[in-house]
Amino acid sequence: MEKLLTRELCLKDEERMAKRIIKKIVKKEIKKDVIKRTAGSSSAGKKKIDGFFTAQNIAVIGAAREPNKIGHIILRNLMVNKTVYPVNPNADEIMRLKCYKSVMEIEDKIDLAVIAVKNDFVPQVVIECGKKRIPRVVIISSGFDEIGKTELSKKLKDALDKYGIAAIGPNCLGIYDSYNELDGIFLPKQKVKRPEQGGISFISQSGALGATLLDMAAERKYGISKFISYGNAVNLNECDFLEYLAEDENTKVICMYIEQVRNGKRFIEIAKRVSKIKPIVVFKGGVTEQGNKATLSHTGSLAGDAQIYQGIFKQTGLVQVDMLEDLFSVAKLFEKILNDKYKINGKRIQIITNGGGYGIISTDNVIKNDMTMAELSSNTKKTLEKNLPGISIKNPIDLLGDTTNERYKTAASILLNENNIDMIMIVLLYQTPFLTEDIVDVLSEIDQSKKKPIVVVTSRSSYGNYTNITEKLADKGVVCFEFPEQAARAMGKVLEKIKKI
Amino acid sequence: MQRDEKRGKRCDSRIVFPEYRAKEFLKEYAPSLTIPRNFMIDLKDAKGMIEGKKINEKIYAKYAKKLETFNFCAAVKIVSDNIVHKTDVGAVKLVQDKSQFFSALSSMIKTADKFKAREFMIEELVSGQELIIGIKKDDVFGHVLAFGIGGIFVEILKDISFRACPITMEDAESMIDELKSKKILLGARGKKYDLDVLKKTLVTVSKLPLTKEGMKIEELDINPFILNEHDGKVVDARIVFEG
Repeated sequence: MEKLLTRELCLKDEERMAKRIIKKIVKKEIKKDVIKRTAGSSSAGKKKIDGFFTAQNIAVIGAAREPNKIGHIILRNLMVNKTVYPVNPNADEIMRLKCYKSVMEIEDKIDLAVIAVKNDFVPQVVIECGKKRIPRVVIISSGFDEIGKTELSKKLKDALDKYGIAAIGPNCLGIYDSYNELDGIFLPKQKVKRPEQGGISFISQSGALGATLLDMAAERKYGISKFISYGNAVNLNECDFLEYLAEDENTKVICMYIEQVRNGKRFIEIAKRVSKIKPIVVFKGGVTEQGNKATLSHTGSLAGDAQIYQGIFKQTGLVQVDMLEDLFSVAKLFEKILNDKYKINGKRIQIITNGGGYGIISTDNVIKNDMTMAELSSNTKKTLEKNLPGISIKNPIDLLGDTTNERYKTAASILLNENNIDMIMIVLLYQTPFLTEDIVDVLSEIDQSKKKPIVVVTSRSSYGNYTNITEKLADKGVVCFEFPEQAARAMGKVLEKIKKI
Repeated sequence: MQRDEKRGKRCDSRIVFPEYRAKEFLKEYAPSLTIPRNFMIDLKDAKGMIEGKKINEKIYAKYAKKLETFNFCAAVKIVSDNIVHKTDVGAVKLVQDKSQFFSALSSMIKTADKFKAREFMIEELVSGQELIIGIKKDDVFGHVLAFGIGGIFVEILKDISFRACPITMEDAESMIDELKSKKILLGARGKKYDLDVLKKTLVTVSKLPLTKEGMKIEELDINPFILNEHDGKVVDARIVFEG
């Protein structure tokens, strides 16, 4: 049995090697291309950070045999697609990989080291990385500024500076890149689902919060390009990542969770520049005085006044959300509108519903979020009246509880050609008797026509196969929300910003 | 800053400019701001004017013309480096006619002596909406501009907007737009306000920290800045410089 397993593992290894070689060749080609295209404009900073994601040979310092240890999980996650080198002075072999006493023992060139050792050992480990000429490290270990160990933090900083090593962390969760198939986060896959490829990149000062949102994004089928948990930011900070993601081709929208900014002047300058290239959606933790106290112990420095941050975000063109659940949904809607290249002139919303109450709540929230209800031209009204007998044509249009798929199709197709509408909100209460699963295709077709952006609000119900409907719609790229409030908040934020681009 | 140190009042290691010095500073570094017309009355003259049973017309004659141009509607303020919050110590009184003017003066002489003042400032009354414009030096973002509508809106509702200095006209517009109480300025209750003057003022104030002297501002309060249909004026101001 064991032999069989070993053979299988070997085979898998060979397969992996082959894949890797092909990938390397392709990447080289791409790199050449990129260098050609960006010659002159490519900054040292971009290359510096890009290397984290394109790393192939990765040392895991503090690799562990025990399956629940961080050093084990990271190794396991990374070894799927990368060549990994476990480093642990107390082991000869971990998961059938040769284990090294120190990085300096490794003969191959190392692109990146992930450090997960006890805090006190980190500076020494970094020095060894420097001697081995490792250009980049991700420091997972915690126990620095955030618990008042400023001296240790200083030691670490000095070691990084001495050898010119670029570092993410410490006190972070790691990094993830769906396109480069880099999984360097320390949470096990069975507990945190990894999102598919997509246009949203996410930088987070907090690690666990970042991972939780990543999990949520995966569940909602939001595609992610890169995730960077940067913790105490002793070396690279939010400004560096913003600058980098601005140039990253796979990133269409940037999401940020921050508690505080290190260098305010630099942040203002960079945020102003980047937000003109890509939308940046930001959620700030620590907006109350009590919350601020929590950040003091959390990340090692006092967050600034929330109102000042709010002003700075507005001034620099960032889109601030007040609810965590909005962070990714706003980003997703941005991505959708940018990808489908909609030209939007205003904030006029048309609502289609099959429930009167939902129509009212949706209208309330459209108005609350600074949008207006669209007014239909008389032509459109006539066409709707002709094709939808018995339905009163106003905004919202209530297709009633006995609606069929067909009614949605008819109403939406006509409304897609109305000039006075900027976005359509379709409320779909799947519990009503005559709707069938084919509604997914109906709505997806409307969405795919790319005439106007649509969002779908569909309720949760154990009988209504809610998960199926939402998942199926999401699979087809339709942006879905569970409640009208969420939808309207996202629409309001996106339309406000799009207007200014 | 040497010169300023001589002019200002030291407080801890910081230098506080009370109203008249702050206004001098603004006149010099932000000349486009409008400051209400005012003139000074020497404390000796003030005492002499009201000493006897009758008003000393000879002394009064020195100031009569100026007072008449204000139509006797004025704010009487004690000028002293030792007073930071004038209203708290009764160092400011509003008057509407001649007799109110004299009784204000006589009731304030004691306070003026107490704070070692040498002058009174007589300033024309300005009507309109009271606003607050300020600068604060933030640890993270450097100088930030603050703007709000005076009274309960700032103090109780914390309805203030901030931007990093300097700002653009567009920023100024969004600062106004951000306030929950903005409807007051947009002409509720049939009142009109010159928002263009307000925006230009916000931009001008936000540029103060760019100057060599302004760089050392730790706090600046223009409170109130009074805005009406025709213009906006710096009615009271105070500046704290770093030492």
